[in-house]
Amino acid sequence: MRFSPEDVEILAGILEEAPDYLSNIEEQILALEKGQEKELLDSIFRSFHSLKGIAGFVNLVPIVEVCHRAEDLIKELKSGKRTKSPALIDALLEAADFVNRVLHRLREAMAGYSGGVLEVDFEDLGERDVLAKIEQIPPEEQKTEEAEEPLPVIDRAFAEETLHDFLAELEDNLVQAEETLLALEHSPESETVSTLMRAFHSMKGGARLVLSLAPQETQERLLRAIEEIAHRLEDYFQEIREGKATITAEVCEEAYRGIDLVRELSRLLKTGASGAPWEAVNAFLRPQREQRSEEVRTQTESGTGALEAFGNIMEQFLELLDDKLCSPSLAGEELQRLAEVVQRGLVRLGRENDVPLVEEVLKKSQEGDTEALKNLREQLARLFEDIQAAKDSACREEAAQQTSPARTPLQQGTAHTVRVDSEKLERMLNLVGELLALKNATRSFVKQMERDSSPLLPEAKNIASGLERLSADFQSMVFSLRMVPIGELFSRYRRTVRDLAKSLGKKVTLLIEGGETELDRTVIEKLSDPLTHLVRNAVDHGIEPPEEREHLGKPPEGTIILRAYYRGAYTFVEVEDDGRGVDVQAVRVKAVDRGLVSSDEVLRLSDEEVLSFLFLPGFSTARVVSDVSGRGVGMDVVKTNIESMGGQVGIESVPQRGTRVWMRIPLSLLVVRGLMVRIAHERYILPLEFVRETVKVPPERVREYFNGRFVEVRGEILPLVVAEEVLFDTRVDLRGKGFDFNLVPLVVLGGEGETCAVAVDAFLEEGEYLMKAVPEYMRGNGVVSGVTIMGDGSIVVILNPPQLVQW
Amino acid sequence: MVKVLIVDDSSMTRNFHAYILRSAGFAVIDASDGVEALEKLYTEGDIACIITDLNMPNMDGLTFIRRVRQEPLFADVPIIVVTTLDDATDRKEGIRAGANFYLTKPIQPSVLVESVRIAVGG
Repeated sequence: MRFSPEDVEILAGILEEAPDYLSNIEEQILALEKGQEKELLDSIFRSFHSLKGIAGFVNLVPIVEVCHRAEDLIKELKSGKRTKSPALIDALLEAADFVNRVLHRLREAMAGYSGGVLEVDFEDLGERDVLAKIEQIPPEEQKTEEAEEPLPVIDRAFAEETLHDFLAELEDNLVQAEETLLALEHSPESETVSTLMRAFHSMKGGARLVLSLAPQETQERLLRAIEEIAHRLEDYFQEIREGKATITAEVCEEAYRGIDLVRELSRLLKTGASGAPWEAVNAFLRPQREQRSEEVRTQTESGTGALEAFGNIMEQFLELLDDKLCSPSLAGEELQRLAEVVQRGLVRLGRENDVPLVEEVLKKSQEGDTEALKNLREQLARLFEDIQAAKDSACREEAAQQTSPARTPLQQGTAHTVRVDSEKLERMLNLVGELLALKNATRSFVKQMERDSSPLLPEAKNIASGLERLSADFQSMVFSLRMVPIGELFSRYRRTVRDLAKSLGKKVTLLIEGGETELDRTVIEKLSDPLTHLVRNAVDHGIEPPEEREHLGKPPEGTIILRAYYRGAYTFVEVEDDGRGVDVQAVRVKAVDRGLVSSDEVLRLSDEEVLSFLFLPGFSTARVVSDVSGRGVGMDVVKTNIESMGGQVGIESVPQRGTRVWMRIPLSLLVVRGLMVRIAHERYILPLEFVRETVKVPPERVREYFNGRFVEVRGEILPLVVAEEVLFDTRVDLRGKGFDFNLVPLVVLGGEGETCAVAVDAFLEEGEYLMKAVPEYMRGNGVVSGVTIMGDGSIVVILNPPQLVQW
Repeated sequence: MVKVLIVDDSSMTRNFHAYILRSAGFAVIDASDGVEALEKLYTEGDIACIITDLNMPNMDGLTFIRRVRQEPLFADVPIIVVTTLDDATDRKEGIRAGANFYLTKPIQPSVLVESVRIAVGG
């Protein structure tokens, strides 16, 4: 075969992509020998299908043909036309081997390619043998019942994909519907009603679309239910929009019920679990069921394409003609436009002879000759009946023949947003890590060159700065992919607040501020639990019942604010309420009760310090344990989750005015600018945000005083921590350590008003490091905040200075 | 290849219809609302057929159809409206706005393909 230079480019792509499909195929075929699961068949089918697809781009006939036949085999196996046999498994394996051989041959040819036309010979690779082997698989006893081949153009893989898309879209629609509904309860505006209608409308349309792909029976039932519920809800709001009905609490309740049902059904579709709430679904739909079932049935009936397409157009033409007969003043353009299409349809169906009839209709309609028009309409109707009759017989023929039109390789639609597998994002992040390691290595390499006054220095600097720029861009791009606006998370609590407030007989509005603030995906995930606890607390304990509020001169409706904003290198996320506030004295009493502080001490603590007790496990001042909150679990979860991200939490409260809980999260958890040091032959990283300066001092300047050590740095006496002692729990004699030039390398750490010197063995390099979280048990009481993986694959620990020096 | 423009705010519907039409040998361009669709009409050129939803954010289908018809360049491009069974008034509006005919969701793949073939003629 000959390939043009453009083809060769595509071939390179094929060589890159094909191994993905081939890697598992052999194992899967072998697994098929043992058991025949549907997923296995689907997966093998998809692999062959994809291979065929990509090979089709350059008309790589041997692969296309063999894969096509293999695909057919799987399809027949799935439909039950064939049963599994050793010969069939052999044939599939051969097919996969053959594809491998072709790719191998291609790879060889490409290796020696130097431009121009590429000639590759596949003749001797045994294509004929493979195809013959497939042909020769002994036929099974013919199954008498007709194999089901739902829609000729669609394969299962695509149907699955569509279902997947549908579920993702459904989730979006549900969230939107819920949000809109909440907004609607507060201010019924027609625009809001329309948005709501559109959300239900999309759900319905999506369900119908998936239904048209002949899903499996269990899926079909679920989809049908979703479709009907969405339809019902759409109707509700349509009536409201048209002014036939008004928004009442019952309607909203009903809508929430529908949304919850759809969500549950969608979950079952996604997981394949059983136990659908059919009773609830039926109860929801009962009033409309009877009338609707008829409609749905007629819709899903299949028919033949061209005739049915024409029938649809013709029907519209006749309808419009009727309208025209009733009111002759209607504009002629509509009729004209439809007539054009009708004529083309007639031509397409080989009924050119009838085209003049349509011409005639247009002419008479222009002349306003109603009588002639009536006559023509009758003729057209008869013609239509004729065509319909032909269609019915064609339908029967088609059912008998079971033809399947040729396929073309699946091409991806140009989507405007792409859903990316989070695993891929994770892998990209690892690449960023490697890039950073490379950048750090380059930097120290350039420094070395500088010291050696290498003649290549200017060039090396150029390359290094290019690499630096590129990795910075790439890094911020990858991180931005991982950023999600927090508003999506915030708005989830609208429903929580509403339901909770209702069950407690309170009135609460949730306000969202800074919803556009973007945070890393993983941070958003970790914020979800803490926010749930805080929001529940606020509704349950914070906001007072309406009567009490009025009595206090507050508006009866309480307000909870979810707020996010950036400040410095941090993102702040806050939950604020205008409720009764926390009783600081009660917390003081409880803290003493629990033996956390003595009664003397507790009086010396500031309110803020006292309030921080609330974050301790099992600490709750709620007098009654309700089913909502107050069991004393929750606040500690908030603290743990936030601190695991290197963040901090705090609480402020003013009696009768409200409570504000703030969470401070580092902007970038991912990249740490740090100083790498050596401590006892190991490398460690100290985050630069804590490093004030580095100095080297003679050991004499270190003084011991009681059990502590101090060092004088530029006339300032600082407490000294020897890192090796903390990390390895030993005692180190600084004089006997043998430092370079007998000077002790010190890192002066500063933060939160405290300063401390840390003695290390040597300073190594400064750089950026991608931080990976480590499991709790590896954190060494918080001394370790994470690890980074170096370019050579070694792992270096990133220290957490505040814990190291025990501030 | 004959170019078809699919306008729909549901990416699934777009992808699905695009897949069917591409399988049948059409080139497909898509847009998620009327504004984007108009843009594509001007930038892509030689679009032979438009399939549009009515219910869309930003610019709805009816407005989009009217705008297309106002432009002499596109006055003859066949427009197919895609609606559901329940919006009888909408589809009439669609025709009045300038669409040639409508299709009712869910559309059988073969009907979609044939309808486009009929619409573009030849």
